[in-house]
Amino acid sequence: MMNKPFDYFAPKSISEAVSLLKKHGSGAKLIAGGQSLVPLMNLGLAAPRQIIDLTHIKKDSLSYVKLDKDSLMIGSMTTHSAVENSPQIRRHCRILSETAMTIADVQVRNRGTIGGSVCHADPAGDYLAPLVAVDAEFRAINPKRKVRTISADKFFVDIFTTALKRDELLTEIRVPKRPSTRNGSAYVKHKYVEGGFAIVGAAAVVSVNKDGICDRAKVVLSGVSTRPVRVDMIEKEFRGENLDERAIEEAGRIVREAVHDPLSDIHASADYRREMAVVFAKRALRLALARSRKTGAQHN
Amino acid sequence: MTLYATTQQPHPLRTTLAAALSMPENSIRVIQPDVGGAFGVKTPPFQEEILLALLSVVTKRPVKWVEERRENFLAGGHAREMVHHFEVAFKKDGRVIGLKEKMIADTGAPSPLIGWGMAFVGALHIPGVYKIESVDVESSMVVTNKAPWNAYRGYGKENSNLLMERCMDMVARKLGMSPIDVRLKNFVQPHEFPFKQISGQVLDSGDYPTVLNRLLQMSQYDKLREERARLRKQGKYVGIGVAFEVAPGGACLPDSYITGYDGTTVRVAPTRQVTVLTGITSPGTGNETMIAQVVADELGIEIGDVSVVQGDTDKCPYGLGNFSDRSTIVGASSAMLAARDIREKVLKVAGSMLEASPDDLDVEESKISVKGVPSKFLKFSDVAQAIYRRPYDCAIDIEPGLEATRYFRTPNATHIPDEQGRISTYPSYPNMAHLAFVEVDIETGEVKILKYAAVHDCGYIMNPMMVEGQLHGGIVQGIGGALYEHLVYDDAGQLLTTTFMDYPIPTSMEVPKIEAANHETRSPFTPYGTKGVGESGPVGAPAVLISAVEDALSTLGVKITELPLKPNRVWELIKEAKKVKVSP
Ligand SMILES: Cc1cc2nc3c(=O)[nH]c(=O)nc-3n(C[C@H](O)[C@H](O)[C@H](O)COP(=O)(O)OP(=O)(O)OC[C@H]3O[C@@H](n4cnc5c(N)ncnc54)[C@H](O)[C@@H]3O)c2cc1C
Repeated sequence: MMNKPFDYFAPKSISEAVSLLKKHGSGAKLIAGGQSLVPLMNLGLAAPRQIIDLTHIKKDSLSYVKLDKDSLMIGSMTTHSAVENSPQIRRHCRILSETAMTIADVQVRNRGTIGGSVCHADPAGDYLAPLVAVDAEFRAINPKRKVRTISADKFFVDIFTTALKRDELLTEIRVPKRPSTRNGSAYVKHKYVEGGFAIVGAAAVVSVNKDGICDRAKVVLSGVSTRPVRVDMIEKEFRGENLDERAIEEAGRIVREAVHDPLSDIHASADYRREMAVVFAKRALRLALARSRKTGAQHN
Repeated sequence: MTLYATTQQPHPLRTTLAAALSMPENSIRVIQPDVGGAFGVKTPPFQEEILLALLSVVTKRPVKWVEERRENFLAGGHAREMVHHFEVAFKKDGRVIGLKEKMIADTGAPSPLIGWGMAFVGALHIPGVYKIESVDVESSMVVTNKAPWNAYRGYGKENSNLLMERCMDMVARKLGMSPIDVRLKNFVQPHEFPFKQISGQVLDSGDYPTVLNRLLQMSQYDKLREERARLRKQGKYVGIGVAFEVAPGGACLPDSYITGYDGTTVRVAPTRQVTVLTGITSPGTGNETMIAQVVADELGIEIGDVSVVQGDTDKCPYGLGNFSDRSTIVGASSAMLAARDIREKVLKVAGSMLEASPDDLDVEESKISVKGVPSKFLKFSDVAQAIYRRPYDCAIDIEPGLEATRYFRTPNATHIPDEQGRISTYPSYPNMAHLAFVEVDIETGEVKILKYAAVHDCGYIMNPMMVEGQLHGGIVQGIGGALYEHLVYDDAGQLLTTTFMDYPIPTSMEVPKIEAANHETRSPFTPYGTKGVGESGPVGAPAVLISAVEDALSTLGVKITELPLKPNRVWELIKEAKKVKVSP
């Protein structure tokens, strides 16, 4: 398929980029790593009239990992590889590094960005579940330089649809810092071959108190539905419980009920996806729990 | 007109172009640059090649066309969709005495691609390596609105092989016998070669029991069974599969350009460098190295002095290119014949120069010396120059020039029907025993290959590294077909798998370490005793994987009747089997 011709812009600043977005309206598309947009264009599924390239914006204004007292801040143009390898992310939000590692292959990870991935909002996108699970917040800016903060849970609206307005640009993802002990998290992905998209991706975040009793246990699933499935029941049911194998089985049952209308495609039927949601939710929970109990280890 | 084409058969393509465009054949030149990923698909002339040539003739301009991945998925040719209905008759001791098979192939839309032949060739290779007195095969091809079939590594033999291996496994299960013993009971025996199969095909050579037994030794089969028991106690679903493969090669189909000869020119320059022009083409398998090796060995010269030219109709002798394991069987053999003609001339002239009989000469390391008198020698280049410069004295006994073109035809195909109307179309029967040890994730249906081992017989091995490469690649391709690859259509006949995202193929992460070894039984029908190896692997891997997965799920009684074994499908089989178990 021949791509339709388009105009190409390489703004040097964020404000220039959002002004271009505003000026050209609905035909314009931002491009970050191009790892989702370009395949869509090649398949004829997207035909932007203007392409606004974010890679020429001064590097550290969108590509960075920073820390303050309460949160970890990740610039939207941070590549999957950088997320995978950043010592700060590994220390303060290990689940994101673990997730980045499971995405595609090295070439894609070197170009694709966390911002591009969440703005694309492919239901099988790996970051979706962990970002919801860790209560991430997304910051967007518009041409009037107004910054808006959107919670991860509200950000993912539907298949390939986010809460971003047409003239907004995602600048940053913030993750609240948590105490580094007695917290465990895990992302477990079900894929058929290495580099493949998730049939199901399960993110689990668990906190236990010093007696091993659960303070917090949350499971969020990618790939199962049109948007991340957040299994709230687990948060309510397990507070104050000792998370033993029986409890994990019970969690599986709750997940099965929480998955309404699972996606169905050539790789996985709806029934299979629902069952895999259960299987991988349990696997993620077990792993997160084991990590939370490793004393002194920083696994949150 | 010059056509650069990613083809496996430049000469037949030129012939087709000439006919299609009503142009004299000698006004067309087809050049095949380096080609990869052919696997049979690039054998036939494509409609696009004819259209491009026509466009160029009409517009008098160069025309270029690049096929996209999606177009290749849609129209480059499909393969393998076949349904088998079969019944087997057997004795209590495991001997199979009768087989009734009805096979139906969905060959897609009718087309000039050569894929439909796979249904025919599959039927022809029943009952494979087994001796069965009575066989009844009905093969039907149905035309549908899917993409047409095209040749694909295995060329239908993977289907007959799967059928035969399923039969052996089912007989073993029914009798409670070891699947190994059932195979050993039914094999054509080593002393019976050449063996005329009930189909009329003649198996050239082999030692199937030894190949199978070597595999069992190499893979430590008995230990593996203990390991299986140990892992099963831990609640794991592990299984062992063993299967045999025969991947007939060197196809000689009647009245076609898929047949059993090829030609090579060996041309020696006065300064000793050798140019080899051959009708054999390389799809990236490295057969040019092997051709150079043969010529260098026959002439006693350095391989670095030999360069090989392939894939150019203006330079190379008319040849049939590359398909069906033929580059060693026919390509190396024709190169050998041409090189031996050169050698004879060189020795004759060297003999008269050294005043010795040609029979008393040795050729080694580009030197021709008198046997036993190493100090009495000539350089290969001295003789070559003498042949070109001294036609009236020391080279007077030979025809001038140092160039030979020879064709080789595999001697053991027959196209004149026997008394039962049977012909024999494959001269070479490379074979292999496969073993797979797998674990099935009972929760997800994923199949993980823990171990894969194989012992292959391709006759004389000319280049061990190339043989190993072919075996590994072929087995991986077979794993792909068995576990991952599936062209899916929707109800309206739209192909849904048009990217490698939707049509997964195995990566190095899914493929286990493959242990491959060789057992040589030489073919009596090729000059070096070679048999071929290019199609080995994908023919037997599906059978061994079905067998191993069934074994892993044997406590649930899962029976596998279709491929590929994608996790979703295996999970369904497990679920269905569990339901049957719960409510008997
Ligand atoms: C072979 C292959 C395999 C893959 N496998 C996986 C996988 O296993 N798991 C997975 O999660 N993903 C996978 N992906 C997708 C990959 O992660 C992409 O990198 C990611 O989805 C998009 O990031 P990008 O930077 O490339 O964005 P682009 O492709 O450049 O953009 C994607 C979309 O986001 C918009 N956008 C980009 N940046 C911003 C911004 N700052 N503000 C607002 N909108 C923005 C663009 O306009 C576009 O609509 C795969 C991709 C390929 C090519």
